Amino acid sequence: MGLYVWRRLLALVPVLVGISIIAFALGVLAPGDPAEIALNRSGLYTPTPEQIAQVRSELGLDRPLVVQYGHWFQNLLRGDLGTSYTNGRPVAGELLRRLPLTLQLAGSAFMLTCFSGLFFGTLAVVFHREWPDRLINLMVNLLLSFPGFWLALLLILVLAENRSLLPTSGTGTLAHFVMPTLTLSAATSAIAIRLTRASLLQEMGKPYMLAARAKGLHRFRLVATNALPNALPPVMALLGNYLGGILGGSVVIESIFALPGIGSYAIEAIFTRDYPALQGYVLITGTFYVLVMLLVDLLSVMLNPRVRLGGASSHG
Amino acid sequence: MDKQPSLPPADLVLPLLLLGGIALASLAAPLLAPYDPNQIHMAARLQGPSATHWLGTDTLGRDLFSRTLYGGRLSLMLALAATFLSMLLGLVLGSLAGYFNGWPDQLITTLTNIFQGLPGTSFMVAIAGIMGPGFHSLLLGLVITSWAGFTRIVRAEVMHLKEEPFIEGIRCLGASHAHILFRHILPHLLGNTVVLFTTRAGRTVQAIAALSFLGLGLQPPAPDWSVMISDARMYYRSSPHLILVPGVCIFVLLLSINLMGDALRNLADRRSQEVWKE
Repeated sequence: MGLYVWRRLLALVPVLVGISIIAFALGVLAPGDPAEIALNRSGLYTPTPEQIAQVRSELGLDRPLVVQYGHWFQNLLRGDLGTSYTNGRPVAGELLRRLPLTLQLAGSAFMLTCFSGLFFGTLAVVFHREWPDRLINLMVNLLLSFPGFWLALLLILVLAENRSLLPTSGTGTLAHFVMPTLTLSAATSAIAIRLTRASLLQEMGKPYMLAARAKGLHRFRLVATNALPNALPPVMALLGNYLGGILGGSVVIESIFALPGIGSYAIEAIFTRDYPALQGYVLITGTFYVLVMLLVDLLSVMLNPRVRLGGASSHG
Repeated sequence: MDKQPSLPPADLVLPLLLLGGIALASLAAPLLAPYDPNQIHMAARLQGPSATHWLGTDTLGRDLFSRTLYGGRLSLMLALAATFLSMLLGLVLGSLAGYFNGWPDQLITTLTNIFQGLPGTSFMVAIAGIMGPGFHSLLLGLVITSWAGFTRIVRAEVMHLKEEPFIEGIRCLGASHAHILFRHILPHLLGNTVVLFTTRAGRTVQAIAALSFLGLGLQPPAPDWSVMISDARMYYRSSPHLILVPGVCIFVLLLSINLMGDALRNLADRRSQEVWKE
């Protein structure tokens, strides 16, 4: 187990370096000269070539890319993500200020995904090939076919405009989070339901289930208490993917419901060509995603002795 | 076992019809559309359905029916191109990594780990940021974010296939690596590849739609379903048909792709079970 954790941590290093290189490349490849942009921020005069050259050497832009990257990476380790082109404030502070909202949104959507995946997935198997199963299958296909933004707009039309049941934008109360959470978790819930169902069905075909059935267990207990614990690990292993999908979807949802999270920050950054902000967004979401994947992986290994033992014998 | 002339399975019929209809309407859009999809007519803006404008007009007075007919062309083309390209990349790199052990495998696996470790959206956002939003950055973004998934699956399949006795047999007969890869391994991958292609095409359509809606994908005034919905963001509360018509189109497209994926997967499963019984 310990060896596996170390191996997994070690494998993380190239991925994190890769993410940092991509974020760095974003700044290098972006059109426009950062020195010129920094000088133009005041907007009072057009800078002379000498001034630009001076700022370029101050910012270290005249040095080789590798040196620039090293310098940038050092700043990164100190928590310095650079300053925004649009308002000159540190990017890291702005991202940290906006992160809780996105995490809150992603977290609630994630919980809803897990809950509905387990609940409806189990229900579908308890009533395998009966009408609840068919209904749930239909629901899964429908949910997967809704573009998230369209679903959000439809919900606003029905729930907010026609009935004025829920607020359409902003934050503050719990009610503000109902529609964003529902729309954000729609697609991932559908995938979770489908996976839970498939994993359970596979488990149902195994000999020990035949024995359990022979004992005359009620089919609900059969599924919920016998098959479910064994069917969960493969579903859990994909939890990280759900979170990736949710994080991605939150860009759209934050934009529609006017939520000031990091997703809407990224969108603003693109339209204002605020590359340091964009770099910060790529870094934060990338790192967060990788760490969650790691956590989920370790968790599922810890909870599943078969993977643990198999992993130890085949790799060890 | 005698061969019967095989009809397509029942669950394939509906998605095939729907997809065929969408493809036909998109292809024949120049013939079917009563108006130029980009013809602005401010005097006739935000009209409801009528005899002259079957589905009404949008915020700039453009004919909604004509725009809807054209609305799938760019997305469909882009989705097919992006899925095809990333699949090709995945097939080549995946079979190289799976077939030849050693450094090619390690290099490709490390690269797929890095690219799969990145959340797709932040990648797409970054690319749209560098290249500016549009068709090219969208295509590049889609390929970059999906090739790794294909590669990983193909690699696993090839590694599995490579150990099969029939491959070992062919190798003992002196077949070259190229011959084994192209004539014996690739054909075995085809069934799963078709299923994978369908499910990924669905995801690609979703991604294109979301990015275009945000203004990071296809750009206005392109007649595209998501762009149309994005254009109507200020007006949809008073004229809901502006988002209902193109939305239903995307929905039906995605639904038929998803149903098609299901049907193909069932077909593949049935095939493999039949093989098992023999």
